[in-house]
Amino acid sequence: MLNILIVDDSTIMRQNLKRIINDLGHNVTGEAASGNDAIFLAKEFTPDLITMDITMPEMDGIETTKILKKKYPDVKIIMTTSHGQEDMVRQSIKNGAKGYILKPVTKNKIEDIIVKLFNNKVKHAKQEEITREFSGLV
Amino acid sequence: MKQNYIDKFQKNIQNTNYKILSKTNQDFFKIIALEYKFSFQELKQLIDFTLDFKMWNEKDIQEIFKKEYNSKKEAFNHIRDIWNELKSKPNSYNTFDKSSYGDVRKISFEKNGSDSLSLGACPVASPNTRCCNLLTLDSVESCGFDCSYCSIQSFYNQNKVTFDVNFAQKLKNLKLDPSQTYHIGTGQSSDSLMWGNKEGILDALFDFARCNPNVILEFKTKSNNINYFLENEVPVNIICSWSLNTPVIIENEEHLTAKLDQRIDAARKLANKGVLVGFHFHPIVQYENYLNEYKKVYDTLLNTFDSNEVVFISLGTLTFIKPVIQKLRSRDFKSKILQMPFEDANGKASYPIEIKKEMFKSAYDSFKAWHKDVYFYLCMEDHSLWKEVFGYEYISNNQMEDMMKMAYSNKINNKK
Repeated sequence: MLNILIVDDSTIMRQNLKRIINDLGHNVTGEAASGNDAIFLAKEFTPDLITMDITMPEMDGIETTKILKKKYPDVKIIMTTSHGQEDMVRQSIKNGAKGYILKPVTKNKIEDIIVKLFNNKVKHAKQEEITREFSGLV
Repeated sequence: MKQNYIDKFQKNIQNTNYKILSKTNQDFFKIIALEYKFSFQELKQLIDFTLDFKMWNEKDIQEIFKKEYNSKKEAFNHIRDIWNELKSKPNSYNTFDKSSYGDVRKISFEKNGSDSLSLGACPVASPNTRCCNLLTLDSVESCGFDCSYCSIQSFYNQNKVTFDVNFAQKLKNLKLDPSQTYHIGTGQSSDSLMWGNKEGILDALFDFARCNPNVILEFKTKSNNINYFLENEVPVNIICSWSLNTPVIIENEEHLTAKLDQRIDAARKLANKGVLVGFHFHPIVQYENYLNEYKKVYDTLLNTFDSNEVVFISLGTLTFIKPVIQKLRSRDFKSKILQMPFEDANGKASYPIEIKKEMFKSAYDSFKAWHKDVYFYLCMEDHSLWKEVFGYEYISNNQMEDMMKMAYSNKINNKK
């Protein structure tokens, strides 16, 4: 199970992401509505993964990614993006983001990228889950 | 003893390129083989070195083989060192002229009526390279151009160009998912434009593009045969791309193709008509002063096109599979294309990674003014090169593909 921090200035978007992430069996450790909040919450919760909206007021996702990667080089960040933001995605990846998810965000898209980024950890977590279930049956 | 070696020699040469050697070189090999008792591997390699020297327009083996060596090892190493030295230094085409190439092919056209449409994954896709998941659509099989490095020559009989008479109908019957965006290229099994509308292939492809707005249809060419495009309304989801190279490479390695200025002029004409264009620099070839010569081509594009007109720039270089190398050695023509240092690149032979970094980085940096608005990618290259060249990399082929389609779709939508 991964600890995931959601960063998005849209409440609806955060709710949607939280629902999907919980459905996938991961833990949403925090929700940030701005870049500054994200920096604060990342320190508090040390997440494994951050989903980062590219366009946010004040500090955008590109700048926030740059700061977070400098402070926490191990954290993995994926950008949530819309059509027409290709150059911003490239800038984010240059600043340390691992990939992106094109909106609308779906369960499949999130699952795909998590498997890509955390293959062993996700497999291991699934294996543990199966073992637990199996132990309960015996 | 002597007779034993003669028998062994006759047996060994069966599995070498001996029969491709000129008569005088065959006789020469009989003499030196008997004198030094070369092993099978040594003979095989020496014969290939000889063919390479000839193809590269370098000195013949009989000129460089010394009158006397202390041992067969010394003799073999001497020739191998010369071969290696020629491969490791940048090529020079100074000794080449128009007589270096003579087209001996007699192209014939054939028609077939196969049931299935040749639509599939790009044949060069590999899990170890970052690939764009392009779908390739073969309207014609085999090419009328004669690029020395092209792998088509190992797939098809180059003298026979085949058109599918059922192509239009099969395209009409093709059912695509309207919620998906498809990037389909027609320039893999032949040049996309060189045949014009022969057998109605362009009519069929234009209809297909009109009926399927979710398809991005790419025509890839080294020709300037754009009449059909000028005379007809071009669907907005059609992209015309030119494979470009320096004048030196075009003249010496891309035989029968349009010259550089003709290709750029054709692209300019289509851009004037509102057709989106793209450019492939693939293969970039290392030779004397190559970085400066490619830079001139990049600058010409920057001065000729606006970034809004250009969808992408792709970069790639020479990668050879063994059958192409063998095919090249068996041809009686001059080419420097195999005169390069080979390194394994995911099972194929290509330049060492440091040379690739130099050639791709120089290209990408030259297009700085277009970085924001034009999609740049490496074709068939190792993941690691992306970060080195572009400063970023995608974690999967799907992420690269989606970004590419997004970039192309935005350009297309802006044209609507």
